Amino acid sequence: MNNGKKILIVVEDDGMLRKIMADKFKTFGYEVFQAEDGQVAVDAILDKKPDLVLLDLLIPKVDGFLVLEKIRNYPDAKIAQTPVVVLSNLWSDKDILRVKSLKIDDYFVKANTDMNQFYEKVQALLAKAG
Amino acid sequence: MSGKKINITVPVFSNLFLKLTVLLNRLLVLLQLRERRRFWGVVYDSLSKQPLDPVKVSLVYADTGKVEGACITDLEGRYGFLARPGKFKIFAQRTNYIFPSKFITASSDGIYSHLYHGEFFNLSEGADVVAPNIPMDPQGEDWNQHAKQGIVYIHFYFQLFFKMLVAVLFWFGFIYLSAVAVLQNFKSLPALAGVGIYFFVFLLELWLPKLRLFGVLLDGKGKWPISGVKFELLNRKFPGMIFGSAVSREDGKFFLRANPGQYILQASDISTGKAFGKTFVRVGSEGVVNQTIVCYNG
Repeated sequence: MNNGKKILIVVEDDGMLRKIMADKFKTFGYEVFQAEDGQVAVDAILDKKPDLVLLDLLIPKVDGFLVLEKIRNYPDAKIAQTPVVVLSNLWSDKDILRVKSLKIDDYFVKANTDMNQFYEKVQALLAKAG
Repeated sequence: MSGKKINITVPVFSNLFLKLTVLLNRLLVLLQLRERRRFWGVVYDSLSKQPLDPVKVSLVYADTGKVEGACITDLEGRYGFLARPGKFKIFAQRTNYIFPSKFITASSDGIYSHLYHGEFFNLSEGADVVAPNIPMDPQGEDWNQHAKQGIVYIHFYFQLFFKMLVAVLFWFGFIYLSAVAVLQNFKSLPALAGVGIYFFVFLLELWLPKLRLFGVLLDGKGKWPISGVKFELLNRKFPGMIFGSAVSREDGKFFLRANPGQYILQASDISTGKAFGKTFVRVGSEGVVNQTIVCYNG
């Protein structure tokens, strides 16, 4: 918690989409940090200990799968149990099964997602977190 | 939606016709008599010709600037909107790319036809799905586009060559068989049969309805359209995950995109959020739920 605000990290390499999501979640009253690649994401997660991470899978330097593995295998339980919502255009069973095995809280396929529904679900998860 | 017990179902016979339409449309596309653009619009890189994602595509009313719909392209750069009558403009936005394209200003570009460059357009009553192809110009290197090549890669020139080859063979075959039939005073049965097949294909192109990209929700008894029903696609392998959603309009139409596969289609009341029915649906390579769904109340 930071100033009573819940912390959210948006991990997305596309700057436009990242900004759209970050701006939207700021209007809901969350503290939002942005990460454009996997390395920045891991550093931000360790530093900020967020209440939730929005994670793209196809991102530079360290891909989303590895970011998720690093979080889940981290010795600090607070970080290892960070809620993660995946928002990616990857949709194969193989990709979904792989991230599901790493205990994600939800998975959305970008192209098939109603963004309002996505914002509602993320807010509901954040309300439950912490 | 009200009532005690409500069932939704996909009627077998009306959807058999739809399946037949899908197959025959694919044949016409293969023979270059119909264009694939009728299925989807693609946003692509004007130089590499590769599909772009994620692109935010917005359909905006020309007069008021009100956004009628917005969506994000899939891995294959595809998008689409269910049309309403009016005057519109489309905006495409993606990091490292600009729209409209300055490199491609013509109306077609190899395998991509009916290109859109930011002009206003009118949609009349009865229009189907809005989905022109959209070229965008790169503004430097884009990591995502390089990384994606291992997952999705369009062999643009091969596809263009294949398209032209099929068209040449198709028309050469028609001219050759017609010539043989005429020169042999219409006595060559194989030539006549071949020409007959060609005419059958031409008739198909004239009479076969275009493949629709939307689904329709109808009342089971009165067959009137039902609005305000939210559809969500679920998958038994991944409980709780939603693979696509849409709401039926006042004319019963809904535009529900999804990747090919078997799904459970769940219907719920948009105002209460309460789920009231489920049925199985299959999404083909067209990437949309375009079946007629029938709802029985009582």
